[in-house]
Amino acid sequence: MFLTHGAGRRLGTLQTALREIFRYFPSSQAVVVPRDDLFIAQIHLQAFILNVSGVFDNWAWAFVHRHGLLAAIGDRRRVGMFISYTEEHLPAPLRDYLRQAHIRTWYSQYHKDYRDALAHRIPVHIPPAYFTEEEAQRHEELEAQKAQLIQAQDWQQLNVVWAEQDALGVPCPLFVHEYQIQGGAPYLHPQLLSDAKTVVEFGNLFYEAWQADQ
Amino acid sequence: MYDEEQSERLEEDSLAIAKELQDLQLAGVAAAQGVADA
Repeated sequence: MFLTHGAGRRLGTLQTALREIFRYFPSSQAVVVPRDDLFIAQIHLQAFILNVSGVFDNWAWAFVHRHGLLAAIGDRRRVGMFISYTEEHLPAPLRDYLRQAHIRTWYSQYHKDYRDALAHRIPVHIPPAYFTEEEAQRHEELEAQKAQLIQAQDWQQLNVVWAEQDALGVPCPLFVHEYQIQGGAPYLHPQLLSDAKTVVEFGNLFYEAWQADQ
Repeated sequence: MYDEEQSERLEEDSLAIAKELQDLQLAGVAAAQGVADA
């Protein structure tokens, strides 16, 4: 169940999400991504992050069920590929992979933070654009005008202001989960590819170990 | 954004990794066969 309906479905979602993010926000994007397209890319980004987390959980649960380990692990909340209670029961190739310094860093300093923020705090989003100082100032002025136009219910002029605001700046291929970017934010396209590669590398090891155990 | 070479490389890599995800999905189907409740 966890392999077929869990991991299998999530791997399909990851393929689609990756394709759609590159479709709506291509790495070759030269002008600011239209608001609706950016929003669609963002939805796929959110699906991607949650399902990266979920596929590792599904593999952990499949392993625990197959080997009847829940009693030994002691608690459902201790089931997870990045939790030591589960990890210590894994075959050596899987344990060694997860214990690599760069994988631990990937999980603890990036992936878990973005996944938890998405699920419980501020959802991950792609900033609409990079601004020069002048553009940032103009963006703020237009933001103030928008508030006034909404108060005045002047929808026609509001659309004009939206259009000017949407044309400001250049594309910003980052993603963040706070309004202020602190300590750098990941670059969208390379980070997604790195995440997907991590899923593929670990997944191949997992299925090799699974088959060898039959 | 990225320069032209980086952009092309990212696009190519995205297609290659999508294929690897698909292959992994199929490997999972094969692994689940014959195992009850997998």
